Amino acid sequence: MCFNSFFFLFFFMLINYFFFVYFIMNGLSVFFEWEIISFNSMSIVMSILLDWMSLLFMMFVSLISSVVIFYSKSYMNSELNLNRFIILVLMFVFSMVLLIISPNLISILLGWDGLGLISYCLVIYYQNLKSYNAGMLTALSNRIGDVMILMVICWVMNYGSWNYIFYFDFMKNDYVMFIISFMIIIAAMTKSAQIPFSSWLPAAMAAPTPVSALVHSSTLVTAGVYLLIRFNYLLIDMFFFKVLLFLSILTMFMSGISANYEFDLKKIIALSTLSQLGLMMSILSLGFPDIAFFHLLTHAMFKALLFMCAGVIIHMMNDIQDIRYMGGLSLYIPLTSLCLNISNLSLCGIPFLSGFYSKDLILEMVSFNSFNLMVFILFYLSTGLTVFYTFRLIMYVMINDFNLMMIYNLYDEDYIMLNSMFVLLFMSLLSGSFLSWFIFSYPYMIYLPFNLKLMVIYVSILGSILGFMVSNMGIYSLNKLLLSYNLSSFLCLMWFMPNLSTYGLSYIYLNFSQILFKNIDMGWSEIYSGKGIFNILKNYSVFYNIYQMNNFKIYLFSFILWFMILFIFFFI
Amino acid sequence: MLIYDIWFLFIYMFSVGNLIFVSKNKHLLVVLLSLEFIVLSIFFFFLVLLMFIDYDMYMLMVFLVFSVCEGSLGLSILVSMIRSHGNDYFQSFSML
Repeated sequence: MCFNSFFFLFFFMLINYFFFVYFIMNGLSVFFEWEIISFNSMSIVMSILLDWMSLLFMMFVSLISSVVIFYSKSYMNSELNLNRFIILVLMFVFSMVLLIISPNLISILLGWDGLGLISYCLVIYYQNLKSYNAGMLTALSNRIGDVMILMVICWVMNYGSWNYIFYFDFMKNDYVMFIISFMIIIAAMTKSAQIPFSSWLPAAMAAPTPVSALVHSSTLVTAGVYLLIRFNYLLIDMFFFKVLLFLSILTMFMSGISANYEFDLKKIIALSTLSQLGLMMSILSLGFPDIAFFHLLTHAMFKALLFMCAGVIIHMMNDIQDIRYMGGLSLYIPLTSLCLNISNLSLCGIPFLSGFYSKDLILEMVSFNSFNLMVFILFYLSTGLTVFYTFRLIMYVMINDFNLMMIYNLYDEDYIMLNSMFVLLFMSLLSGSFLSWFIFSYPYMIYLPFNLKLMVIYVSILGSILGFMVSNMGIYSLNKLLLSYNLSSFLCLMWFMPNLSTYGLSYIYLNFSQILFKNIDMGWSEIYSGKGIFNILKNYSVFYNIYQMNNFKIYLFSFILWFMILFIFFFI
Repeated sequence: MLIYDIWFLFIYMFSVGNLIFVSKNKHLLVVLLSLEFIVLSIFFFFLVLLMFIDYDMYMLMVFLVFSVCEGSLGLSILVSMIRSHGNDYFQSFSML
């Protein structure tokens, strides 16, 4: 099953690649339409839009999913129901493809809801309590986005059909479009885990690692960004886009800080994904959709690779995910640490890896155009924070002394997992330049002062030095973290926002239901329905018992009494 | 006039028999005796009634047969009660 689906998806990727090259060279886009049903004036059509953007994204999605399925043949080989897992992953890929190729809100809804549902099934795959909680948080946060898209479908009925791409230029100043843009932005914010809804992404790391590599790095969380890229012509001068800018910049900053305090390997990578998502959303809301798309694709490559390396490390350490138990692994697993290092450096934006092209372009566009001072500062600070937690991670996992947790399990030569990582390694090295040659038909002309241009290098070096100094530990090191307990817990726990989605939502209802339970269930309803009626029946039965526990003749005497009454009243 | 006298006698006998039936006695035999007394009064009145319908006494014979059966049934109940409970005392029965 694994091999079949791997070959199928790889072949699909090749088809998409060739069509993509053909379409982008000739500037083609193909629109299929099939009318399913037609009401009085609305018609539900199933449309498929194949232009270069959807073909490119489909190519990347099918490449990553084919590699992940091949990887999970070895990662999840002790799983009894591996077929079930592969079928879930394939259904996920199908929903994602449906989302990518649809210019029609109803098929977007099918893909969107399918993504939310199947990511829930995949997050709860391990079926322990933590997975169930994480799955509930994921599913309900995504559900808010589903509700928003359903309401958008209702509002778009004003325009006569659900193919939204035809209406953007004509109806921009309409009130209906205002409402639609607001809801679409909220839907994208839930799916891509921006600030009010960001608590599900670190929690969803309870999923198996191949699921995290596919879903939480490249496809599910970028569905929101993709939706906004499609809707970009509509949203570009709306007010809510500026709100989205504010929130996504804060997301980027907050998750960068939180990743520095985390000690769980997959949570660090999840917060890193969250930070890069904030970066994508913010560059999108500044008005550059193609750069956002570019960063989306390159990020997908190296983040999936990073998750897969984390999976190898977790397998090696016998399912320990805490980086404080790891150290010195670069000596023992050279090939995996090669992949880990390259993907980490690509994340930081080291020159001429794939992340550099997209990230550096974003930062230079921010510097070149005239934006807010806060935007500028937070962008560069977040870039510095990215380097900071990356170097901290590399120090903890690879360079610090070996912590002797697992000696005999230092096994790197799992060729299935290694080969799948090498495919992504190749793409992660080269996809930056490939994509920039394909997507941008002319380069961006950016003219910056010297120090401003090198600002990226300055914050990167600063971040790397800080990352080295924070994690440079010896026998003599003292941990002074608890001196700043309040501040540290504020920064570590994602500015206490997960409480909004978990504790804050359930506390009122649980408190109220406790009051109800104590007062009604164990209180008044005992008198009025439970014990009370029992007491009434018991007392009456006792009375009847006393009444009837007599000689039978008394009962017969009442007949005579009745007869006498009759006799007296009718015969006198 | 004669009819009314016999009527009063019948009513008196019947009601006395019922009174003994519902009275609180110690023995079941008294109850059965009162039932026989009621039967006897009805028999007497049935006879008087049939004297005015040309002396057709056949129904009366059927009535006699059934009343004898009833009496013997009562006695058999008495016997079985004595066999199960050992005595004749009726006071321990209640409506339950």
